[in-house]
Amino acid sequence: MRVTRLGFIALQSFAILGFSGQALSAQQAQPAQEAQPATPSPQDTDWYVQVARPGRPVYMALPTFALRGSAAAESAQVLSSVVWSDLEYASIYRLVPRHLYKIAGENVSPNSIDYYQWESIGTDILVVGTAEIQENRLVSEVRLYAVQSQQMVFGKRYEGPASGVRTMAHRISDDILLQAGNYRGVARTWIAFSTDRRGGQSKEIYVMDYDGENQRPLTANRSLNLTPTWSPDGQALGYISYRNNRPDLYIAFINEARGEALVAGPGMTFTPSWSPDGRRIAFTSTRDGNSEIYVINTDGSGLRRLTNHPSIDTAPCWSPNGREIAFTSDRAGAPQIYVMDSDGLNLRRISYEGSYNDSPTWSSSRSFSEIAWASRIERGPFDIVVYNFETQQVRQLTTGRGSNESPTWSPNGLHLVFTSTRTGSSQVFTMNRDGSNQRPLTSQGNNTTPKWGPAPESVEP
Amino acid sequence: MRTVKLGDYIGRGHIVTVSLVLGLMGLSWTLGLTSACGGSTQRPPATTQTRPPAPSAPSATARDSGGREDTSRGDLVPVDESDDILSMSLEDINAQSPLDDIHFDYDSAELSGEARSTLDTNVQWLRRNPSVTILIEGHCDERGTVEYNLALGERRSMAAYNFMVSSGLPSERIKTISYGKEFPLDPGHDEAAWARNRRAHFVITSK
Repeated sequence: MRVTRLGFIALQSFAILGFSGQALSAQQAQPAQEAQPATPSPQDTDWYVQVARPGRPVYMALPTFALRGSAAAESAQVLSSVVWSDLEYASIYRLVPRHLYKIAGENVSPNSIDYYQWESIGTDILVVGTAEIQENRLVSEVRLYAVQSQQMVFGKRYEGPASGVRTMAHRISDDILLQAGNYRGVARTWIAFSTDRRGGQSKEIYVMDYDGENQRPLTANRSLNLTPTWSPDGQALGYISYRNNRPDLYIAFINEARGEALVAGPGMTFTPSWSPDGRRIAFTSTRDGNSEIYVINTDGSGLRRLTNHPSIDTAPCWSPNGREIAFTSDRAGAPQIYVMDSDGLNLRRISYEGSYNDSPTWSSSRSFSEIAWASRIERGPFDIVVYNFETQQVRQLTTGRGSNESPTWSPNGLHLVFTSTRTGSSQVFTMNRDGSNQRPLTSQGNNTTPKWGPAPESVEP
Repeated sequence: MRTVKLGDYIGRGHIVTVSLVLGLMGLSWTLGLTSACGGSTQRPPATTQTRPPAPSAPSATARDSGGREDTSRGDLVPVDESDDILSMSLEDINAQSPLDDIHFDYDSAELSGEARSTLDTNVQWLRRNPSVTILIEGHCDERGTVEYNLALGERRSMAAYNFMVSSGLPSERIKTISYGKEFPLDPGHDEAAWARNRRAHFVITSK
């Protein structure tokens, strides 16, 4: 089997400069909290307490990155625009519109910030960036200022290949969210999905950036490949492939051209789901006569069967702590969502609305305990719904536009990726957890079974 | 006995001669020749190795429309058709659809009376061609979800498999697979298209 290398562009080196006596730790993500978008949860740091005012969203201003030397003109433009899009997508901070910035001084540099003017247009946090090309390397310095207290709270220098400007921008965006409010962003995450765009009665696994950019193939075996699942370190994908005329579970590695079958019969294998600790994969198998849920260790040992019922049991998905598994079963007559412990015990049904519920996905948000799935409510096609364990309420996110299926959560639990046929063919969409901002990421061919990958914490130096 | 792969002769103009010879030799010789060719293997033909077979030829699908099966076809088959298939490529055999699809009700893997009748006919054909192995594909219409339909398609292929094995066909001759709703026969979005897509489809995988 040939696995195409993805040619991941990594930032080659990082240099951290401490500004104003603030020593900044390396950029690895720290434990973060999520909260309601636009109203960050209180933090301990003094400057943050000054910024956050209860009931009022926090505003960020992001002027275009300043050029140092003309060579970086295009890079500065792309950096600014991608960081803007990332922050707007995150829906955590409101962005002060650019047309107001001239009041505060168009050309912002660290030595000349008119804090009062920025405050007058409603800015709480000011992001000042520069871009420069040094010997074919792109260098950017980014500083965050708390406008009210007139202090710089974060500063970092980024360096990388000039061709890696989007990657650098996504890094900057995630750092801004982390430093401004301890949020885990999704700017560096990827989404895997299955597509028929290559034709020839085949579907291949593709990967793309969270914003739909950079769509590239992971498989090229010209058979049916679908239902990818990410390892929690983002280095590998499990998926089902029919390349040997039977649906089997394969593992492919993102940065290495190798892959192998983990489960090759007997019977058919479907819908794999990688556990949060990376050590097990749950999947559907018909090896014992009908569709049941099994778990296997990623080294191929320890196969155990979890369900035992003549019904169809399928589409397993792990809870964030790995102790429970949600899945679909038609034991009540039609497909419904159930939860069981990861050893198969304590099985109980959780979906009671809608006539057909399938494809559960369990949020790993630290603020919200919820599961989403595809539900046939009144009309024939499906809509995405979210069940919250605390309120025990179901809320509907898509309403009546095409059929909406196969949802999965972003790693921070603030967004979902799903498929919709609202444009006439099956395309991958994302939206916020309240159903807002639904937007397509794909347009070519038919695209199905998307899976949102983890933040690449172990990929960068 | 010289081991001969009939496929070797296709396209070289010898096919008529070979089949005439076999016809004269009779059925038992045909069986012997087939086993020498390794006809018991389950490998699908190279041309369709990693793809499901192309949709049936228009004449075959016209017969399938509306879920009606031409169950009399088996009775009209001439006695020496079994000799003909040995001289044909697997692709050509499948293009003629010697085994009819069976169809299912929405969200169901139950065998209707019509389906059982078609399966009986298919079983008889397979008895007359005892070297043939098949793959039963389970398919669904587009209305359910991707994930559940993979399992439902498996149920449909297994329903056909269980019927055929209960009828006495050796289980080694039959494999099953599910394509869920991934490869619909009819790309339409109406009842007629959906009815055609809810099916088990039979593919000859070796002869």
